Amino acid sequence: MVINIAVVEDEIEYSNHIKEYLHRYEKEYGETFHISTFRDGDEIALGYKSQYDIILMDIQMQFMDGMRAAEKIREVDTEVIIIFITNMTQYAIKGYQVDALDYVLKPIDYFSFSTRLERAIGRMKNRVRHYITISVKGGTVKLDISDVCYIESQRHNLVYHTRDSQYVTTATLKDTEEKVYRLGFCRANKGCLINLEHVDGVWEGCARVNGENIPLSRSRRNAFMEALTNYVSEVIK
Amino acid sequence: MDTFADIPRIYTAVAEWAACLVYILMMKRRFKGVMFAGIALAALIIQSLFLVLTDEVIIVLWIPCMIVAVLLMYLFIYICGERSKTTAGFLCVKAFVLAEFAAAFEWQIYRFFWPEDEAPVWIRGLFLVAIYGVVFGLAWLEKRYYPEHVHVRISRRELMSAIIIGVAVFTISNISFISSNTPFRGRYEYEIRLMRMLVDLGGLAILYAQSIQISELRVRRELEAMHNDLYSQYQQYQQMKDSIEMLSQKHHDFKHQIGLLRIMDSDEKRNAYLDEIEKEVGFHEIQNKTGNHVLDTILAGKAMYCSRNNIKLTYVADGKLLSFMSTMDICSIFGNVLENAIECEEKIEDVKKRLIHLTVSAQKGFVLIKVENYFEGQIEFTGDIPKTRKKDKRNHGYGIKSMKHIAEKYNGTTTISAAKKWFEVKILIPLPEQV
Repeated sequence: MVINIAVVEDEIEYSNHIKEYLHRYEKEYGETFHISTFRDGDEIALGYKSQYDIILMDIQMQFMDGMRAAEKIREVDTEVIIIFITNMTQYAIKGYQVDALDYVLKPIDYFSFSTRLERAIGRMKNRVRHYITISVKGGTVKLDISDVCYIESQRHNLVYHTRDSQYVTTATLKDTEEKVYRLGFCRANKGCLINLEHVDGVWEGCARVNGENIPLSRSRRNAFMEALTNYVSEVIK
Repeated sequence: MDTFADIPRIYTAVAEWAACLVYILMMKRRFKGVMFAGIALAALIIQSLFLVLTDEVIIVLWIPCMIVAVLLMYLFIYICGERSKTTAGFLCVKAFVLAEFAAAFEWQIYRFFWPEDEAPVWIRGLFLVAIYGVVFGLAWLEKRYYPEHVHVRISRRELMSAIIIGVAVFTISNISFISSNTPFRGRYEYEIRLMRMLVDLGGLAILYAQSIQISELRVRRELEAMHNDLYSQYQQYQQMKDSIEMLSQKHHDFKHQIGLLRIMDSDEKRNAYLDEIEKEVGFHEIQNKTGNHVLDTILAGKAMYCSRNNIKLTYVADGKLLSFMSTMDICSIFGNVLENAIECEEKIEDVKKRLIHLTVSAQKGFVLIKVENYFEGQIEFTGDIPKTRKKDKRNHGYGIKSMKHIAEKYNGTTTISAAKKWFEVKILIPLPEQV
């Protein structure tokens, strides 16, 4: 799997430095990068088309600063991981405004650079798409797992709820739970598996999923909340 | 002692075994599944065989046999539960008195319906299962309401008083069966049995009260310790706040002095150097503005400590998200979590590897607080709390406990993990405005 990385840095010296570290990382961790370099924020932000997995970006640049560029990029791409490389910590701590929760301080030290990058790549890989094939009346359906909000058991059937439709299949919740457990699903109560990706909030003992309130049973609440906490912190940008 | 029919020993054995099982199931077990079932079955067989075989022993050996029976119960509990010797002993006393009561109670009721012990075997069996089921089922409720005493370490003194209660109950309830010539002897079989049952019930109540008292004492002590921790974090915060204010003042003076220096010296290079310093000063001044004053202060204080100790502390924090939390609570959460991380980093030799990264961010309807720090070697956990290498072991864990406690107060959850060289504390709290 080739990881597309953009380096946005106006000082050539730093830019080369980062590239050198990236090449070193490739060798040490056995990854393959496709690296593109930009000299200013506007170069990457104008006409941006979600083509990168990770963007390493300086904050202070001449025409369009890193924050502004990140805002522009986020309008198009909510998934890309943005890591600021800066000595302007007072701006970097505001990275949450553009979903950039990590930064590397200048002067860049290889060790901290590589560990931050490793963690970013780890989170990125967690977000790989998974599909599940289920048999429904008159055929089979292939669902992108992240489209499924929750799975509910109704008598002998399972109902897969997506944002705007439902699919009924015959299977047991227990077997399905084993299958989708690793994909970020968790039991909320006796008859319901929730995709943690779709939990918008927890309120008065209910998980809010796609506008619906699904009760969390007393015995499962703690385990559910722990799974959710781990899930949320694994997938942040 | 053989003037009337006493409880068949096999029933007593089953009661003793079942009572042990009730308490073992309340504890964290060492074995699970088939292994546990095997051990439990073996315990049942041993207990039954022992009691049945010693049924006819002479009166002198009766007490030693009783002691061995209790020891067998103790072994069963100690082997299966992941607990200290004293806790196992305490639970053993409780199990023994519970078993005595269950057996006496069942016998009493059975003899009421079948005074001559004439019920067919299968009815006899069903009756036993039903009555034991009710008694042990009720005992099981203890787990729900007062679970703490099974989880805490019982002190020697607490164990001693439980043993004294147990022995007293046993002596009084059985004295009529050993000797017929005591002031406590009932005149008729029915009264003797009734008295035994009531004494056992009394013993059970006393032990139950003792358990509750132990639990409450522990909870209170824990709360006190957590409160102390909370207070000390708050005090630290106050001190930090004062010194940071003083520092800002100094910065201001410093800038003023640079201005003066500039007028006195016109050397260009010197000026450039002074520009640099000025930039630095300005930089420090506007640093740490997360949108929450309390968080700003804590971070500034910890950042100062970190830079003195060559720890690289970085953070991305939206402090505004914490506005629903009290000052004390913010102090405790961030003070503790950073203190822990710093303690861990200080042990790392290579200063380049001393890394801490903190984020506070909104994730849908939650605020996620995440602190990760690099570590080397192994981190051992006791339960879900990492073990300390601090000298002061007694007060350890209250920092993390109080952090967890606060998260829970806001309906949040804390998870702690150590994997791939990174130690992580994650706290997820639902945002209150989200309805």
